[in-house]
Amino acid sequence: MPQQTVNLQRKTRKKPSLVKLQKALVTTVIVLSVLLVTCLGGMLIFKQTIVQSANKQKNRIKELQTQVDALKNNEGLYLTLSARLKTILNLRTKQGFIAELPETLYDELSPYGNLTSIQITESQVQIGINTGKAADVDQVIKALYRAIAKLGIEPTITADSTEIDESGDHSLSLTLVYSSDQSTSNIQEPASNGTAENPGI
Amino acid sequence: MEQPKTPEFNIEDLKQYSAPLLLVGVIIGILVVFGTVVYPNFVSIKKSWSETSKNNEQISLLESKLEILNSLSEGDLKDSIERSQVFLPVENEASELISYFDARTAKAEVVLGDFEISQSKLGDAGEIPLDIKITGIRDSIFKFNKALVDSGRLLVVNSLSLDLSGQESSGSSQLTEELTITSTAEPFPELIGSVESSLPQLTTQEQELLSEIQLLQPVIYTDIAPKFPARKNPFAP
Repeated sequence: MPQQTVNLQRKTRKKPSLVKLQKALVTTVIVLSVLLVTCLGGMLIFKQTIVQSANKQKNRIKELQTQVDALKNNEGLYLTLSARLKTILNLRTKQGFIAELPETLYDELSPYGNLTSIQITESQVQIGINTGKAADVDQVIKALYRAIAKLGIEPTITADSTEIDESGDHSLSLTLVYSSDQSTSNIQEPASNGTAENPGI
Repeated sequence: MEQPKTPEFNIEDLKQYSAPLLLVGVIIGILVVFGTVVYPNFVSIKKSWSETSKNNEQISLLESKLEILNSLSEGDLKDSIERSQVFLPVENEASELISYFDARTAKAEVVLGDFEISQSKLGDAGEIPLDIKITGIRDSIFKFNKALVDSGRLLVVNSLSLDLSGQESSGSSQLTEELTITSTAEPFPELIGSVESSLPQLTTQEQELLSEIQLLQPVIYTDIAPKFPARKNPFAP
């Protein structure tokens, strides 16, 4: 009998490290369980709310789509008008520069020499001018720079040829090369007083 | 010789590990539930949330689109589109171009010499090149050039060649100018985009141009504004 008592005591005793481990595991289980319940509950509520909200939104979208679709003729007309306005503005920026250049050059240069030819392409102007005596060439060049400043371009100017006739008069051939972007960014808006003409119909 | 002692297997010793093992099992079970139930639901909620945000964007887009469309008057739009043909016709027509240049040359008092249009591109939308030659006194030529810019219709002068060699100081001698011009036409679209597509807002410049167009004198229109019975071509693939 005394031997049996000793055995019983041995059975109930646990190692201290095992007890600690068991406590830690119990804590983990509790924490995880609370977390799981919270997550599941939260998700359930949240999901329901989102589903309801999404359904409401879908109904609203359908309703709006129907209303917008009923106005598709207005939409088409608006898009047509908007596209045409864009094209008109885009073309206007390219429109005036070359057409108005001869008059500007003539006004600036004619007091100092006789213009003989003006040839203009998208990024180049060729000018032929009789400047008179050598002293007047300088005046013509100065006038040309004034014209350039007025036009708002920054060209490279090249003298292609200079001829001097028997009477000592100079004939200059000049080429101005500029970026085509400059010609579109510095032009004047065409005059518009609300009375644009019927295009000849 | 004495045999080494081997530890005896005692079932009673193993029993003391049963509780920790059970707890580990429970933890694994909870983690499995997290992995199989919580995580997929989390992903699904996240997806629904982003869909909700998208739906919100779509609703606000449609609301603003509807607001714009409700504020537009069909009559005013048609009228503006038809008037815009003064600047930008729907197609390039030879008779219309010839009468246009006839009117401009007569007004500027210059003589229209050569007039060439690329035949193959007539009646088409888009750009067609024109080559014209005019003769007149210096001031009239400058007046014609100005009329090209001011008269409304969008004609882009690509190149210009003016021969001033025969001019007199009085400016009364006849000069010749050759021009290469691009005439642009833009057809009306036949279809519009989807219901969800947003409407472009008019910029300040576009609004100013629209006011200008609305002030134009009434004209006889070559083409009436289009109708949009459908959004998309039902026969398109």
